[in-house]
Amino acid sequence: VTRWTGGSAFSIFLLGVAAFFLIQSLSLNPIPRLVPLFIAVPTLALIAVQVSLDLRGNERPGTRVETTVFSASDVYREKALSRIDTLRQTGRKHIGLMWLAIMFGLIYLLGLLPSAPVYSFLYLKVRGRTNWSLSAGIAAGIWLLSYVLLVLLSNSAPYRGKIWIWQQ
Amino acid sequence: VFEPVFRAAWEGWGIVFSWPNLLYPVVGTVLAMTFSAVPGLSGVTLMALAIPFTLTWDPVPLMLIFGPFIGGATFMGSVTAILFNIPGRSSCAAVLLDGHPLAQQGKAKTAIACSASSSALGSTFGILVLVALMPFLRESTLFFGPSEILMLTVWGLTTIAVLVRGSVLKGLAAAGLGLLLSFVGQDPRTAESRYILGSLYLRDGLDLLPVSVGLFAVAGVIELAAGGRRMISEKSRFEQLPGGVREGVLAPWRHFSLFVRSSVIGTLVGIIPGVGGTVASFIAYGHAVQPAKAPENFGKGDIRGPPAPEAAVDAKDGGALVPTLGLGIPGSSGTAMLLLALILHGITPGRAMLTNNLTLVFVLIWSLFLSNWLTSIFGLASVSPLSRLTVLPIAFVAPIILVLATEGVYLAKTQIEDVALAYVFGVLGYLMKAHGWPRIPLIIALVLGRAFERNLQLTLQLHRLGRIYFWSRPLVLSLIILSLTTLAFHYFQDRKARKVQGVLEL
Repeated sequence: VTRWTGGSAFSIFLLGVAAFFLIQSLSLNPIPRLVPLFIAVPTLALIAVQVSLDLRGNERPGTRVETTVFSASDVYREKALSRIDTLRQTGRKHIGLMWLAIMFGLIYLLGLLPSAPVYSFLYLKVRGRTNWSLSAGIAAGIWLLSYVLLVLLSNSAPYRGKIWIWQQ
Repeated sequence: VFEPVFRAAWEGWGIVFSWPNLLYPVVGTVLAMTFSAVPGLSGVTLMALAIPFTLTWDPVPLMLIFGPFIGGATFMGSVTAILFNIPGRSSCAAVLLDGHPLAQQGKAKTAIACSASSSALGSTFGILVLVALMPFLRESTLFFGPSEILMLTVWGLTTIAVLVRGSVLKGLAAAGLGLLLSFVGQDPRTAESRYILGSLYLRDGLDLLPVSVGLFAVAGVIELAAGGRRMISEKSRFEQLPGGVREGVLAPWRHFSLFVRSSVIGTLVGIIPGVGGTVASFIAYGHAVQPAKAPENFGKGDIRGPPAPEAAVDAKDGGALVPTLGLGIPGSSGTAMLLLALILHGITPGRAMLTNNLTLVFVLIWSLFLSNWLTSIFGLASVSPLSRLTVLPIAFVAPIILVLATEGVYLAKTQIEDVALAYVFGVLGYLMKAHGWPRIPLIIALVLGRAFERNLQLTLQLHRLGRIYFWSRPLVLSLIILSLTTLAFHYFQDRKARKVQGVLEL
């Protein structure tokens, strides 16, 4: 039975990365591809084995939690609870990635200097549920620190976001 | 041979420890520590900023202030690694492997104190080796050719086998991916671009700072934002934090042979130009794990973890001065800036400097020595306020860590692509951790991969041309034996552990 999980999807992604290196190596001249090919072939083979293990749902002995099942309703309950737990974990994972995506989006749009206080304020207010004054105070402190680092200490102007570039 | 060296050493000592000359190393150390508290900023940046202001200075104050810039900045990079999982420089990435888990257990005081004491002792070791080698400075650098560096990287790569935990398959595959990623950029021999997807930015290869900050700091921030942890340490009040400064300070003494071995590795790597502190720190970490009792504790907050890379990185500074002063070849980015400053002042490093300006050389050495001790003393004094940061709520700390990591990565080269690279590796690092793929083999392979390929190609070419005979070089043979011993030792240790486990299970 094929098991599609986050782990197997990630292994397939890594398989794709190794395959990219192998395919690209084939189009190179003999000298630049010598060492990469020597590494890419076994790496691809190792990840392929891992993918097949993930897809077969291979579990090492001792990793499975033994549960005593008394009736059919327990089976459904166990399944439902495990599904809720998986969904919760996935949700939490998405929240973490979403906050990184927000920071990246802010840098892309607003630039490096304004995004630092804006992100800090949003994080403190929304994720940390901190009060308005404290969030604003910490965000102002972060802006000051960023200003010292990016403007006063750096020799070049910090990255400006797309909004300012579009305006020009 | 020895008499002029001893005389110059004594004169140099007198100059450094006289008033008001003593002020220069103190001010330089404070400046270097403050500056390098920001991840991404290092003594190299500080030197670049200082060169225009010091052009009119005499050579003696220049040496007195540049010594601390080389040595004083290393320790603070480890502090941010321990507290926030942000390596201040890529060479500090190995410190966080056990340093940050110690902070998570509430033992930030112990980890920082251990780092401070290992830093001072490691640098002292490196400087003692430098002073001992002074009469033979030029000859000692010439021992290391491409084949020796190749075997050194092979030895470093064998440590991956030791460090792999859990699934061996995933560990080896991660190492393979790390090696493949290290090939991104130009081929070292033909300069042909490889795997760059048409991007000019990738032509220089993947920079280690954004990659290591991404894999550990950014991935850590995603984890903090995703998880239910309330503060970095498990404790909510400073008074509840276990572990003490004394335990940390004594750690390198308690594991003295580990400290000496790590310092030897650091000094040797420092002597070889262009290899760098990152390689030294990871080889030393791998070497700490390999012969240790209960190696499974490493990576989970073992007190033996931080001293090995810290001692190696600081010992490297003394070693890096060997090719710089002996041949005029910089052993690291810090010594490259020092070389530039010397040349701008009309001083040519190499034989002329060692003959005509030997006292000046010792002024630099003693200034470096003093600044390393001052850094550790200041570091120990600031252990308590620094460890308080680990009991702050995550809601306050997480955005600050991400902002500092982002700006630190950007400031290193002022390239916005570095930030994107750090974020990509942040997501990769987070997913690797979430799905049980080890990150340490990947980063070690990435660090060593470039040096491995470059020196492999050079060695093959020299061997083919008949310039060297690979198997007749004593240092190469020693390193081959060392690599095989590492693997054999690990194999037998693993078998023994399995037998013991089998007995316990019975």
